[in-house]
Formats: sequence, C-alpha cells, structure tokens
Amino acid sequence: MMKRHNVLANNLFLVGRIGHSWIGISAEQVEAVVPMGEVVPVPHAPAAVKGLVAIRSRLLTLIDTNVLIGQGVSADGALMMIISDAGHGYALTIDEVDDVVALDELKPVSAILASGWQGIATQMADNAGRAILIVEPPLLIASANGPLATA
Amino acid sequence: MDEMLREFVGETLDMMEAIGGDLVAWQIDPSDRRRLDSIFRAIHTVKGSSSFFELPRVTAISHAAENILEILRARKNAPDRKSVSIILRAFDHIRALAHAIAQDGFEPEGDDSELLAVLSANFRVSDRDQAERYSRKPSPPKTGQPENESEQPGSVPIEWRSVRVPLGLLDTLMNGVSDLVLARNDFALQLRASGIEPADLAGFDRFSEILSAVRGSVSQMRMVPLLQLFAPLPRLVHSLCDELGKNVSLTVDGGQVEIDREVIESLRDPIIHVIRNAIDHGIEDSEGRLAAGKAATAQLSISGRHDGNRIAIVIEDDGRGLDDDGLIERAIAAGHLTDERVSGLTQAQIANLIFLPGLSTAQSVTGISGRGVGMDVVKANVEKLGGSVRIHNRPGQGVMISIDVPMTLTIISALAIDVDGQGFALPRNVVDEVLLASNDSVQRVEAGGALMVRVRGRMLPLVVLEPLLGLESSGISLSDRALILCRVAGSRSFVLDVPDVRDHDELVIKPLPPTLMSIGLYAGFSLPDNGRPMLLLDVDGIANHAVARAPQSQPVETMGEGEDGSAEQDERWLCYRGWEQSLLSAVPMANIERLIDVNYTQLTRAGGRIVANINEEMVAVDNADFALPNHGSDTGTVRMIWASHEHSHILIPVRDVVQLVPLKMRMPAQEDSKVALGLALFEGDIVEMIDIRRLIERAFAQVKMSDRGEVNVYHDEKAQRFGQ
Repeated sequence: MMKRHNVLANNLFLVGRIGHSWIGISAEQVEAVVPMGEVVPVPHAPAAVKGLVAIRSRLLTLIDTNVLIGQGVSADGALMMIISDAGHGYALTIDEVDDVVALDELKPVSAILASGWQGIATQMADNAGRAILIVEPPLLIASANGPLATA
Repeated sequence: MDEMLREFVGETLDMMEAIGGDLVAWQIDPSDRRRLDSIFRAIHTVKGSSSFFELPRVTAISHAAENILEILRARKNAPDRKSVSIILRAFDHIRALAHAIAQDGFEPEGDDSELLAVLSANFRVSDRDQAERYSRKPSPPKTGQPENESEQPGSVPIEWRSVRVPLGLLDTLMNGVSDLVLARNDFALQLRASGIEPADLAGFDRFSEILSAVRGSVSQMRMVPLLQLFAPLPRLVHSLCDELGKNVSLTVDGGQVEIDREVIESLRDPIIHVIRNAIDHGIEDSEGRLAAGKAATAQLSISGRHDGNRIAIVIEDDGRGLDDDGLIERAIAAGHLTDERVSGLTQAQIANLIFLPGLSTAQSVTGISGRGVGMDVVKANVEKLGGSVRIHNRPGQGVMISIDVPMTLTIISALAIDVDGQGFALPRNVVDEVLLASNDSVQRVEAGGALMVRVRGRMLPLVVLEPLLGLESSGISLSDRALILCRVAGSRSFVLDVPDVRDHDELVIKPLPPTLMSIGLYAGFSLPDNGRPMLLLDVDGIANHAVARAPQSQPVETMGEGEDGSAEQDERWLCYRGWEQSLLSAVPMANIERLIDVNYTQLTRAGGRIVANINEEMVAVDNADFALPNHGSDTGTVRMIWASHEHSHILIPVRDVVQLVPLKMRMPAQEDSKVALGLALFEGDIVEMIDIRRLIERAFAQVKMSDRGEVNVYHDEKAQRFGQ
C-alpha cells in the first residue's frame, strides 16, 4: 500500500507491476492505491473498461490494464490506482505495487514494445537493473477507447 | 429592425401574456408563492435579455421590479396589496415599452424616474407612505404623514443587493453541494450497515431536507438562458460576412432555453468556431451559390432546445458541404488513415474524420478560421462537459452540426430500472407514461421481424432493454414487465420494455468520461443511496441505436425541425370523451402529464370540490360534469387525464380516450365560453378544444372573474380596487 510521502519532488514515481512488466507512474498523478471493491459493469463498454466503482462516494471508471496490454484479465480484488484526467476520475488496475522511488534519468523507449504497450509508455528508466516503463495516464486512458473510433 | 431585438420584443410580449394569468391569480391571492416565483422568473428573464440590447429603460424598470420581488420572496408574510399593485404597474410599463420597440425598432426616449422612484421608494421605510400615494394615483408626489398601517413587521424592508461572484467560486460551491449529497448518501449507507434506518433519525431527516433546499438554490443560481450565448452571434455573422464578402441570413431560435452557466461558458468557443467555419468554408459566395442553383443569400441557423435533461444545439448551413475527398486526403496525410481503409468508409465515417486532430477543412489558412484550432478541439471541449458532437454532411447542400450537452451537471429526477440487480436510471422528463405490459390498452405487434407496440392509436417501435444492453434476459414473465413510453424529438419516440421499474428520488448526475460517452447509450452516471454506481440511459442514444435506423434520409429533416421541441407536440391534441359528455373534447398534448386510473377510494369530496390523493399529492379533479357516487361502489377506477399548466395541475375524468391527433381550429369559441378555445373536426365529429389554463382557473377560481379570454391587466383598475 502506498504511503503518503511528504517529499515534494516531481521525479518520484510509483513503481508497480502490470503483467510481467514494471511500470512507473508519476507519484503526483496517483491520488491513492486501494483494493478493488464491487464493480458495476457497463454494457457495451470497450473491453478494457471493467466497469464503474465508487470509492469514498466518488464515481470512477475502472480500466483493466491487463486487458489493455493484452495479458488476460486482472484478478478480482486487485489493487487500483486512482487518478484524474480532464476532470474525470479513473481507477487503473495494478497487479503489484512495489514502492515510490525517485527516477532521474528517463529515456525514450527505443525497443519496439508489444502492441498493447505501444502508445501507453513512451519513456523508460533503469532502476537498479529493472526496466521501468513510464506510463502516461492520459495515454493509457485514451487507449482504453480501443483503436481509433471513426464511427 | 434587428432580428434579435424583434425576437426579444416578441418573447417579452409572449411572456407578459403568459404571466398574465399568474398576475391575476397573484392579485387574488398574494400569498401564492408559486405565482410569485413565476412572476419573478419572468421579470428576471426580461432584465437579463434587455441588458443585451441596451434598452436602459426596460432594464432599469425590470431591475427595480426584480428587487421588490426578491424582497417579497424573502419574506414569510404575504405581500401587501400595495406591493402587488406596484409590480403590476412595472409590468404594464414594460409591456408598453415593448410595444413601442416593436413599432419603432428602438426604445423610445422617456423619463421613468417617477416609476423608478415608486419602485425603489416602496422599500425605504421613510418613503413608504409616499409610495402608497404613488400607487394609488400615478401623479405628482406629495409628502404626507406616515401611516401606522405601514409599520407591520412583515413589510420591514430588507436591503437587497446583488453581489458579483467569480464563476470559479460558484463552481466550487456547486461541487461542494453535489459532494455533500453523495457524502450524505454514503452516510446513510453506513448507518444502514450498522443497523440504523436513517429515515428514523429526525436529525438525519432534517439534514437531508436542508441539503436539498440548498441544492435547489445553488442550481438555480447557475441557470441562464441560451440567449446569453446566442445574442452576440448576429453581430459576429454580420462582420464575418462583411469581411468575406458573403451573404448570410442567420436564424436564431430557442434563446429562452435555460442552461447551466458553466455549460454555456464552455460552449461559447466551440459554437463561434463552428459558425466561423460554416461562413468561411461551408457557405459559397453569392456567385457560387447562384451557379449552384441556390438562392444568393445563404441560410445559417442555430437553434437550442431541451431534449430530456440535455440541451441540443443545432447549427445548420446550406453551403457546399464538406469535401469528402479533401478530408480523406488530409486524414491520410496526417497518418490517421491508410489507403486500404478508405474504401470501407461510410459517408458518415468520412464526415467524422473532421474531428481528428490536425484536420482543418480550410483549403488555405485564412484569418477567420483554419488556424489549426480545429473541430477536434470543439469535440474535446464538448466531451469534457459530458456532451457529444455529431456532424451530418450533405455534399453540395450543407452541413448540420449538432452539439448535445447536459443541461446541468447536477440533479435530475429519475426512474430506476432494475435488470438482474443492476440499476439503470431514466430521466423522468423524457417519460410519457409507464404501463404494465398486461395493460389492455397496449398491444404488441410484430411486422417484418420488428416488434412494435400499439398504444392509444400510436404505433411505436419496441425496444427490449436486455438485448439492447447485451444482457441476459431476466426471468420476469412477459405480462409482469413494464413498458415505458419514451419521448424523443423528431418522431423517434419508442417504447422501452423493461423487467421492472420503480420511482427514484433525485439523482446527482456526473458527466461520463469520453470513453463511456462514446458508447452512445448513456448520458451520465450517478451514485444513489445504495452505493452502487448507476448509469443514466440516454433515450436519444437508444433511439439512434434501435429506432432511427430505417429511413436513411431522415436525420437531416428530423434534426432541423426541432425548434424548441414543443412545436411538434403543441399541435397534437388528445381527443377524449368527457365523463358525462357526448361531445368529443381535446386537450393539447403539451399540457398532458400522463393518463392515470384513479381508484374511487382515492377520491374525496372536500371543500366544495373533488380532490384526488395520488401518492400523497393532492390534485384537484375537474368536476364540471363529474360527481362521486353517493354510496358504495368503492371499487373500480376512473380514467383521468393529468393535465398541467405552469405549475398547476388538474385531473380530467374521461369516459374514454379516443386518439392523439393533430387538430386544426375551424371555428373559435364564443367569447363567454368558459374553457373552450374553439372547435375542430376529427373524423367528421365536432371536437371542443379545451384550454387547460382556463380549465384550471375555473377549478381554482375563488372569485368569479368575468372574462377569461382577457389576460391583460390594467393596473389602474386594479390599483383602484386595492386602494380601497
């Protein structure tokens, strides 16, 4: 469980695991990490939208990151990171939360990522030998819409 | 005369006309808060719009009158007659000015200081008696001895001031109140979990009451007419035309529709952008138009209307339409599209390419539009509000863009539909009627593989909720299911077949994120008391999915026609046979709330009238030709039409309901007719067209009023009556 760090620095990242990959999300953007409660499904929603959850009387759209990256389905009761984007609240599943660490040197991702990861992570960091993909929540949320919807 | 000004005058006069009945009723019973509220709203609207047109006299008078009404509203006691007569004077004065503006095209010069003095003096203690004098005789002021009568505690003046509040603060307040409601619901849930029923706690009840009162006033604070958005458009169009050498006639409609202030603010830029685009790129110059066989002057229209709890703004031009090939070319160039995918695109999909980032419709970048801020930004801004933008392109004939946004980001009253334990909400104001599937008046029909329902002469498509949502059918037997008649503009109404429906309290609606908005079936979501998120169904979206598919050519006409949504309904009348009548009667559909079967046990004769107790609400029954049986016969029901006008309601007992039809008045009613407007023909039978307002007034009149047709109020006469 994430603890509140009183350090005000923008190089702090919440490091966790989605599928087999370690990811980092700017700690400033993560409002909380909580276990998944009851999920109300949304008929006809894109596959990656698991449904709606209410956390402390706030309505959130739950995005299953495992579906997004094409790695099956997140377990019920998995952890969720709560974030906001453009005035809307979202919960993103995360399989494991490791720590909040300072990552100083971010580099563009030069390897070609598996299709589900493309467009979600554009930068990465080397954390003591661990490759950490830096995930941009707005990109992740946009990709939950599925491929470009022209209809 | 300026088009907008003409509209303002027309609207003002209409409103004066409409409010006439309220004024009369208010005079009779000054303690009637509802009348006072509607009078206040009318004057508030006049004030708001008059300031746009720089009509200082109208603004000053309406402002002063509004101040008084504000004070009257804040008081517990009923207003004294003096205040009433002063308000009447102000109304008459505004009406006279509006007439003059209509005639001359500008506000006549004149001095209203006397009236204004009366209006403001009325609420200064020292000048109270002076005002009294004014109201009796609108001639030179005289100072006199203060009268003791004016020292009643009820008329102690309250200093009225307006305060400028930053929008951000208002938003914070609004969000705070919404969150408070959600937190209250959460609290109730926790109480229940610990075995306490919140309704049993007096304190909690009181808390809820206060909260809903506060919520009401906060939402009201934020509502403004669409006119605020539309008012600057004629000037914008004019200057664009000058600059670009084009001829455009702009039609604006629906300025009276009220919408949340925040929504308006966020719509301003998108709408201006769309209009600029239309004039710059869509509309041809006069030669081009003539060459294309069109009138030299282009038509551009913008209209707003209520659609359930949403506002639809439609902007339509009759220019050249979008250039499909150009769009495809640019979409490929911008990397959004590959050559292979082009062939599979439908017309609608091609038009939608315009919403992709980086696609400007301009052949070249001009100073007016095409500066790189494109339709993608418009779309993003509207979606941020929980709205949607749709485009309909008719190559060579024009473009129609409809922007659909929630009326407010706040609270609606809703029906709750249960599908296997999951709740969905449906805004109550789009629901015409709820029927049990076993009701005799409904008939399921199948034709060409489609299900339809015949209800009182209307044949409507049937949409079954579970398959629509891709859910398992719930095991409710067919006859126990409920049918919801959903009203959708553009004759796309349908019947929603649901397993179960129940009434629900008001719901705080939050806008959906774009991901869920784009599904097209939901208009928002909410967190009700039980703590389980609930989706708000979007009837317009459901109609798009399940109803409007058949006639491909229709969308343009159907969207274009919706002026304010009422035009179409106003012309439809419900024909019925009254309780003891052989003659057919008809009431305007717009006045009908619903049809209900009232049990005799719900009816009581009291206070010289018959009243019905419907879910603890007392509604008067029109008893012109209806009487309660003296004894027995407690069983059985009477079918009634629940009609309303403004905020008054009445139940009309009917023997049978015939049909919903368009009627045309063939002969006006004689002047002394109590409730009839005129006579029409329906399938060869004579139909009496009933004016609900008069019917309600007849039912509620405590004092016999001679001439119902006359809604004008002559203040002199009234002032005399009150002066006694």
